[in-house]
Amino acid sequence: MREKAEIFFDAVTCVREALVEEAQRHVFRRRSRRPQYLALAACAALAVCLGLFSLLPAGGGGNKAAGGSGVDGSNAAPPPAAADEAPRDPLPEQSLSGEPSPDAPEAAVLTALVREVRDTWLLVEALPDGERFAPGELLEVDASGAAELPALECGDKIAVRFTRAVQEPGAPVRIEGVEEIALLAGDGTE
Amino acid sequence: MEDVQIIDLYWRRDEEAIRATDAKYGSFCHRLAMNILHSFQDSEECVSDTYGRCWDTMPPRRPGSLRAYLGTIIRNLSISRYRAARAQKRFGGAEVLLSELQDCVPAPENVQRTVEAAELGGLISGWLEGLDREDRALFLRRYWNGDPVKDLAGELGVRPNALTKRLLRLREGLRVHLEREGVAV
Repeated sequence: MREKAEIFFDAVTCVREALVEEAQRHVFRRRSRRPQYLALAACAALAVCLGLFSLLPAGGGGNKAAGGSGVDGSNAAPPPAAADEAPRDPLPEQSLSGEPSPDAPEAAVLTALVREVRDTWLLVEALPDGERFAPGELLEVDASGAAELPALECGDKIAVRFTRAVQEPGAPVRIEGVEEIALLAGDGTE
Repeated sequence: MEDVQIIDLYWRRDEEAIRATDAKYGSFCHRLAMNILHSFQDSEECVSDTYGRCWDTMPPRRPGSLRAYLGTIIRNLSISRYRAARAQKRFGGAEVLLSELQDCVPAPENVQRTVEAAELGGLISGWLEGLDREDRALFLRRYWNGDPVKDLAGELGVRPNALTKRLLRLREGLRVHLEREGVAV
């Protein structure tokens, strides 16, 4: 029995090199408490939104009835036609032609080293060639919006084109609005 | 330093190759040897022997993955050392004499065993390729690297018992695969 196990032990040594190398580079997907934290964060965000909504004046509340605001409805200006209504959303929008509107935020590019690869996000370490983030700073990249996601592994050098960086207290900066992720060669070229 | 550059140093017979190998893969080699031998001194000697073996075999060898190549050498050396130590402990002088004499004569059993292991290694590789990446990495980190279950469970964020069950299922899967391939298990 023991001899059989030893033959298997020797046999495992003969496993193909590529498989061994892949196993050494693999980073296990940790079953963390992250979903719980996300749920808590979502609840907190919802509470903040509701709080802000209740502070808004009646006109800003969308379809809220004018009578409920304490303002005389008869003196209120007539609501503009829906087609003429200017967008209230402060977030930039794209025009119908698909061209970005002049107010659209400019995309920034971050170069970083991949530290963890997950289904829809990456943990990366900022490289010193950018000004926006400190070298070595850990950032979460939401890759769900990227047009094409190359096969990435830990240690890969990447360039990320993005539009937003969100900082929440006690958490790494989250890179959102990711348009493109490109794998760079060791010398920084794509 | 990239692996290709280190291998080039070996090919140029530059002793810097060994220093570079030790700097990049020293801790990996030590851990692998320690996982098998559980002795710092023996592990140290195995690692030194591994570097010597690399020096002797490159050239002509040009491994695709230096880490896997080093790991294979260190596993073989560590397993041999483990077997020698076990034989010495169990059977004393006679076993040592036999193992010394064994080197002087052609040993068909050993040759057969090596061939068997290589064939079996190919079958195991085939089975591993059919697994998902995580299971494949898990199996190899446990049975190729010899990483303790506790450490792997920590990396995965699961309890050691859960991981033990998962490894058991993987071994069962391998047994079924080998039986299907006609290997008497």
